[in-house]
Amino acid sequence: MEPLIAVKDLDIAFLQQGVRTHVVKDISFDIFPQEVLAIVGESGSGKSVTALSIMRLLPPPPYCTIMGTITYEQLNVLKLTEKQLRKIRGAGVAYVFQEPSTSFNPVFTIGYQIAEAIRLHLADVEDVKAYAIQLLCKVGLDGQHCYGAYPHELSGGMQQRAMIAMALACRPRVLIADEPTTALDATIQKQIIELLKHLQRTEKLTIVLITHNFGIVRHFAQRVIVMSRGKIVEQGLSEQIVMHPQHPYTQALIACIPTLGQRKERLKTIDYSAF
Amino acid sequence: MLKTLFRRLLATWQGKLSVLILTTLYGVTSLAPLLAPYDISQQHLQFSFHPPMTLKWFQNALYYRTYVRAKLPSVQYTPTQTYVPIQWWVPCKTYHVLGCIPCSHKLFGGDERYPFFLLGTDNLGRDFFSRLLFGGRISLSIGLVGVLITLWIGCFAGCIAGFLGGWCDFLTMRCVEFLMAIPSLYLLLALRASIGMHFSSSMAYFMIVTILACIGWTKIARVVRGMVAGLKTAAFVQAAQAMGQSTLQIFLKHFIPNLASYLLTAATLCIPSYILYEAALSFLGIGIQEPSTSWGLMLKYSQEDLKVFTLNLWWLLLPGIGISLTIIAFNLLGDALRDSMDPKLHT
Repeated sequence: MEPLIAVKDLDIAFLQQGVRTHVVKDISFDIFPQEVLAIVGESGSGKSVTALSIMRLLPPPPYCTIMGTITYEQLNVLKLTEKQLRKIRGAGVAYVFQEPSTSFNPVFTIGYQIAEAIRLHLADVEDVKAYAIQLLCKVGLDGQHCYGAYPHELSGGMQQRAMIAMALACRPRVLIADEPTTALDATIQKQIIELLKHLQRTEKLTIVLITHNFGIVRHFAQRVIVMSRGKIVEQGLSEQIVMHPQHPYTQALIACIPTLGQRKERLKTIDYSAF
Repeated sequence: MLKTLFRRLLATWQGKLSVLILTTLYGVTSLAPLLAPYDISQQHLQFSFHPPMTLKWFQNALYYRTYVRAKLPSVQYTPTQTYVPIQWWVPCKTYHVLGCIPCSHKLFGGDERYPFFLLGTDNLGRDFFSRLLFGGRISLSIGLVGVLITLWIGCFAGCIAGFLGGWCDFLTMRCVEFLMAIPSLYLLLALRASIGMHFSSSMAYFMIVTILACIGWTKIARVVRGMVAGLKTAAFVQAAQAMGQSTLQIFLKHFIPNLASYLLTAATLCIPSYILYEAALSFLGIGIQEPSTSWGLMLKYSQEDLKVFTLNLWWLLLPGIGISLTIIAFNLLGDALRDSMDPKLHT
C-alpha cells in the first residue's frame, strides 16, 4: 500500500543560546491511509517534535534545523513555501493539542473560532454557522449551546471535544492528536478515545496518536512506534508490541506502568545503562 | 461585540457616572462657539475679577444681577438690586458649529446696559465661562489626540519587539528604559525648551501633543511587548498556525483582540496624565500660549493676584475642578472598561 505520509531520515536539532540539542536522530517511518498509528515514548523522547515537524510547526532556522524528507501527496513538506504549507495545514493535516484549555483564544466564542477555521479552507460552505453547529454535534456536544459559549465556560472534556470539532472543520485526511487525553481524567479519557475511534471510522481519518498510555495504544492503535531519546527503537503491530515487547526499552516502559493494588514496592524507572 | 461591551459598561455605576460626565464635558466644549457669549480674548478691563452673577427668574424671563465696583484698583464688587434680562439668540458674526454647521447667533448674551459674566471674569476682565469652554476644548482634546498617537507608537514598538525578539527587542527595550529612567516632567520640560518658544498657538498645540506622545509610549510598549511575547507561544496561536492561518491573520485575529482590553484600558488611564501634563506646562507658561487658552493657562492667570485668588477661590479654581473631574471620570471609565471587557467576569 502507498503510504499517505512518508518520513525519511528525519533529523531535527534545536539551537538555544549557542547550544545545539539533537532532538530527533535520523528516523524513518510511514503513515498509511486510514490507520491509527501511535507514537509512544517518555517525555523528551522527540515524539511531539516529530509530529510538529510533519506540519512544520517548529521554529524557523537557525533556531531549529530539520533534515531529511517528509512526503505528503508527492510533496516534500520541508521544502514548501509558507503559502503552500497553509493549504496543507488544517485542510490536509489537522492537529489536536494536549492542553484543551489553552488551545482556544479566550476572547472569542467557540463557535466563532470554529467558523473561522471553516472559512479559512472551505469557501463552498454557505451556512457556516449551521455547519459549525453540526460539527459540534458530531463530537457529542450540545451544538446550539456551545456555539455561543466562551472557552472558559466549558469543562476540560468539552473543550477537547470542541478542539476535535475544530480540527475536523476543514475535512482533513490526517489528524495528529498530541496527547489528547493527558490533561483529562480517566473517564473523560475513555470518552475522547471512543469519540476518536468513532470519527476515524465515519470520517475515514488517518490518526497519528502521540501518547504514553499503553492502555490507549492497545485498544485504539493498529501500529505503534516506540521512541527513545530521538530514535525509533521498535515499531510494529500494537497488539504484538504491547503483549510481547522485544526491545528492552519497550519492556522497561511497559513495566513502569503502575497497577492498582500494587503495594510496598518502589515505582519502576527506566535504567538507561541497561541498553 | 461593541454593543455588549457598551451594555456591560453602562451596567456599573462607575461606567454610568463616567460616561455621563465625559459626554457632558466633551459635548459642551465642542459646542463652545454656540454657548460662549463672548470671544476668549474680549477684554472688559473695568470688570476684572468680576464675581459670578446671581440669576433670578421672574415675569417669564431669566434676569441677572448687576454689580457696582468699588474704586478702581480694588476688586470689591457690591451687588445692586437692579436686574437685567438675559438676551437669547443674540446675532453675531458667522461661525461654524462643530466645524461644519454655519451659524450667526449665540445661544445667549448680555444686555447692553451691563455685560453678562455667568462665572465671573479673570484679571483682564475676560468672560470666565467663555474661556472655560474654549480652554476645555484644548485641554480635553490634547489627551485624546496624544493618546491616539501614543497608542500607535507603543503598540507598534511593543509588537515588533515582542514578535521579532533578538536584537530588535533588545534595542527597543533599552530605548524604552532610557526614556523611563528620566523623570517624565523634566523630560517634558527639556523637550519643550529645546524646541523653542516662538510658535503660533496651533503649532504650540501640535508640539505639546507630539512631546506627550514621545514620552508616553514607553509604558505601553513595554507591556505590549510582554503580552506579545507571551501570546507568541500560546497554544491557541500554535493551533491557529496548525489550522493554516497566515502570520498576518494570526496577528489580527489573535494578537490584537487579546491586546485590545489592555490597550483600551491603558488609553483611558493615559488620557488623564496627558491632560495633567498639558495643565502643568501651561501653568508654567511654556504650554498653550495666548491668545488661545486652556484650563492650565486659566489657572495660571487665576493665581496671578494671590489676594484676589484666596478671596475668590471658589470660582477662580473652576478650571482646576474641571481638570479633576475629567481625570476622575477617565479613571472610573478605565476601571469600568477593564471589568466589562474581561469575559471571565461575565459567566
